[in-house]
Amino acid sequence: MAEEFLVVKDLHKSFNEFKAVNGVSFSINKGEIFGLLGPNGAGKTTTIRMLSTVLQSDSGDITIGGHSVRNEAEAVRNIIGVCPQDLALYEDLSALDNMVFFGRMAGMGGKEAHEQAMTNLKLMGLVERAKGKVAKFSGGMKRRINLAIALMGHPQLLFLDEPTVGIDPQSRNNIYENILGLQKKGMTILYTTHYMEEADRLCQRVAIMDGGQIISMDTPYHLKSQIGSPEKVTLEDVFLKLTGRSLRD
Amino acid sequence: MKRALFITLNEVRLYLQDKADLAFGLLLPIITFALMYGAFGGQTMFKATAPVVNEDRDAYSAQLIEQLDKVEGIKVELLTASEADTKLEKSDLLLVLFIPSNFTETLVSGDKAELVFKQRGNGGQEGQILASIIRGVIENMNQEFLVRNQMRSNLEGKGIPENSIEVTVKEYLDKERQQPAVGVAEEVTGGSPDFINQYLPGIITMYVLFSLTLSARAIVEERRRGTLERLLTTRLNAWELFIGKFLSSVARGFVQTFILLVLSYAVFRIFTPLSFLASLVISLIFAAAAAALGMIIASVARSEDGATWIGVVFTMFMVMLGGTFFQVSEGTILATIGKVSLNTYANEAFRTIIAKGGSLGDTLQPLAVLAGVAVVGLIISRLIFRAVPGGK
Amino acid sequence: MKNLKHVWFIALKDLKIFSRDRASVFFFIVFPFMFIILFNFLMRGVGGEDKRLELHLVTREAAGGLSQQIISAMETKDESRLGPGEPKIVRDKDYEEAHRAVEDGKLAGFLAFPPDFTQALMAGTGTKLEVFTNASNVNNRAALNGLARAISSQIGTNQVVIEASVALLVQGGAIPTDRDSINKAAQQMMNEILSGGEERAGASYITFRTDKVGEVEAENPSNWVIPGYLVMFVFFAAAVTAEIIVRERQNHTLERLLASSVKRESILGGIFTGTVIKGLIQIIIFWAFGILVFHVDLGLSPLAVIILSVLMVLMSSAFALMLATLAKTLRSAASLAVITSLVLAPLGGCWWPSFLYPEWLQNIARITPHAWATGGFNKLMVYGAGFGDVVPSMLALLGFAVVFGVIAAWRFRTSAV
Repeated sequence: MAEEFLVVKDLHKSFNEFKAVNGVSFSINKGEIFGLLGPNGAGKTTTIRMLSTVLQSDSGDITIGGHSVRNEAEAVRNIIGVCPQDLALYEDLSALDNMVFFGRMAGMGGKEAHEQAMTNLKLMGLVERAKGKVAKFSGGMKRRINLAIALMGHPQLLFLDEPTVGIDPQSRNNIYENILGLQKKGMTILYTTHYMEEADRLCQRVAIMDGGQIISMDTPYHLKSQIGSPEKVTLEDVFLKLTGRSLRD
Repeated sequence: MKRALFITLNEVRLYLQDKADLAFGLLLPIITFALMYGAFGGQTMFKATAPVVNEDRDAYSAQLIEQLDKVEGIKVELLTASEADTKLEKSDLLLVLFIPSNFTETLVSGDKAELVFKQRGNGGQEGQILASIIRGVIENMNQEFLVRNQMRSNLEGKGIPENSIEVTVKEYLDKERQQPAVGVAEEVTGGSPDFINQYLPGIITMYVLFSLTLSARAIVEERRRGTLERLLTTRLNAWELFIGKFLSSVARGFVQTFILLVLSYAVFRIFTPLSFLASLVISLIFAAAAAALGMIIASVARSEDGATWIGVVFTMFMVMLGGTFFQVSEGTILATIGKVSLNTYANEAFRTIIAKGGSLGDTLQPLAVLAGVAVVGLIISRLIFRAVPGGK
Repeated sequence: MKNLKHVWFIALKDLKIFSRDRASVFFFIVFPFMFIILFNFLMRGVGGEDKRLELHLVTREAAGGLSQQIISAMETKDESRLGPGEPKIVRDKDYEEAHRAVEDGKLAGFLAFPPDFTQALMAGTGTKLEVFTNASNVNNRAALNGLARAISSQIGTNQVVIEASVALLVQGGAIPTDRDSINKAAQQMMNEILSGGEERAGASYITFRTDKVGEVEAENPSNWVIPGYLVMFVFFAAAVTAEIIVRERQNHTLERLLASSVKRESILGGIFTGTVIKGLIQIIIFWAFGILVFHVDLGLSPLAVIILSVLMVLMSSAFALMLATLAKTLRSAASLAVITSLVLAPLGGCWWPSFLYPEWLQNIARITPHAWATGGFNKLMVYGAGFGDVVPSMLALLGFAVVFGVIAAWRFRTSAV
């Protein structure tokens, strides 16, 4: 039986009258890549922010690696890495400076942070640009640095919030390979995206969120089976069938 | 050109809706003027600290110090002799009054007592006035002794009893002190109206210049965000975009000055309808010159922070050199350096209209300079302005 | 220990970012000095004015009147014979001309005797000297008023002597009681007093001696220019760093930091530390330059100057932090920084000394930390005060720093990411 690394039970969060997250429950097994899909405004980013201890939930339990997010937030932060949807970089600093800084924030020593930074830059194919100012990087390079920073501090659980938005296929491919490589090394990953083929390719299981709730959760194969032949139906078809075709905010 | 005007109108509309901008452009000049008016606009009086070394510490020295302290604007500071000597040595003080140790004793015995002014040179401006005030106070104290002495001299051998003299002296002295034979009536000319005429134009031009140079930051931000580039993908061409931005700056500056001048008109009544209209013309030309400067800053600055700093630097220098806070005398080096400041010409033009009752014809020279700056600034900024880094 | 490390790394990161922005570094250091150099140039010679006071007297009385004699006695005929500090008394011939000159700003003011001066004195009806001055010339106004009071006092003395003497002589029977005899006796005494002249002046019981200990040396304007602009620019530079927190929020790096094990307090502490370090660098450069180039005199207690400077930096950094927690956008952070700096600087005596303000405005200025800082610096460097005299200023700055810091910590703690 696979070990559950992240467990979410009946999570709720409201902003004034608006229920952003309304009774979400799921779990992620150790070493699994779990996809969280949903239209804009479904509550994905709010959920991730609660899981990464940035936002407090109104009610519900979250356990990561055996630690309660509510009571042991410090311990949780020591084992997670976050790659936010928006680029969170110091554009006036170099790639290496950014990574060393966040590494040190994650509790690494100077030498250790430097070595880890170079390793991660190599992984992302950015070693030659280590000392380059981030402001001068292309969009794809910035996304790769954004991901590389999330790896500083040897996290056991990685939150990747739409990590491939607006980048070229080469950069995207590089990121996919890195994600799969990390999984092979035992990393547990929560992955959100609007690109269904990405979720299909990378994720062992996928949860589809809409209106603050999980409306369906299973492997991509089984989700596709629900509406037709898995060889012919795409995850996008499943997504659109479940969430509808009307425009969201 | 129509599209350029749309940009202008849109920016003015945004300006009037932006509370922070309005606070900066309208509230701040009012606060500054009110501050300065409160500080300097009233009839100020002489204020000084009178340093005194009192080695006597008896009745008459106490009386002298008490009377000196009662003089409006004068505050007595008691020092020891060594403190006073040290401060005189270091020029921290230029004049100190020394009351010798036998001051009271000498006066009581009927002899003459001597006070000492220890000073550097003439005692400086403040010291000379303090000395004259101290002499005035001493004169009052002296009065009693002089009167008694003179009376005794006048009445010698007339068989008038001593106590009658004492009583009569006291009676007449009291009467004189209550109702002096020679009073002092003061009349002061100048003051508040001069203050308004002197400082109001300068403060208005200062904040208009600030607003327009700081608005360069917004253009830099737009360039960085890519919204300028987006505008160029429409039917708008680079020239129209540039002119639109320039005209919007001019319009903003003019609207700001217009509101401030209307408030001045309403509160201080310093205009006639004709002089108000003339002031509006000056405002328009000054706004154009300031806007041109703002466009140069927007063209040169690489970042928003850089634009802010450059704007603040230029504005503060122009304000200081332009005679905003103090009169610049003709023929001085400062007046020569001040010729590079836009505020010099704008303030001169405003003061000619407001304070001297002149007409627009009397302001042709400063207006020509401002107009020239506007034109040249516009050309230079157009040559270096880029809506897209490395592009049009 | 971990939290302190975070504070340090965040401070270093901010300093690194700042040092890479060459334009900001240039304006942070060079711009204030351009101002200081300009104002040093403008203010040179200020405080060195030791020109002899010149006071103008005029009379509207016809020739032969008492006022003519008074003016003649007081008029300076040979300036070279005046002692140190003695004013030069100038007689103006025409009242109307003098009046116009004052209105046109060509003359600072004058003291005038009324047309009926002698007559009023003889009749005992009382009269008034007129002091007419230009509002802008406070010094001359004070001096003329002082002179008027002295003249009034002298004449008053004479009047008392005459009236009291005559009264006693009438009482004692030495003078007949009829009006004519009394007037004649009074006139005679008046003539005696007037003819007494300098001899009578020597009868003064309190005399003066002037000991000249040296010449007036022009004050080094740097002694008040540098502290004033140091206060202004340290505050301004710190206020501008209010953008840092806003930028961290907009960049989402704030969220990222919070998602790692960095506490909010550490982030605040790091930004504060970075701002303090920048401020300390600024004041070191200011004072080093001031001492080496402008020969600033730090007064009797250089230690007090240093402590005051450091407290100024701490207060400014705390203010910047508070501002950062209030501003929602980069633009509003920049605007707030400029607005607060431009209002607090003149109110607090950075542009000109606040002792020039009326009492009520000086009291209002006390709500600004600038007023306490410039007041402390002026006491130490211009008025020769000691350490103890500026302890209230130090405590005030510390108080401001604590208040701003508490507000910043409270707002940051409760604000959304």
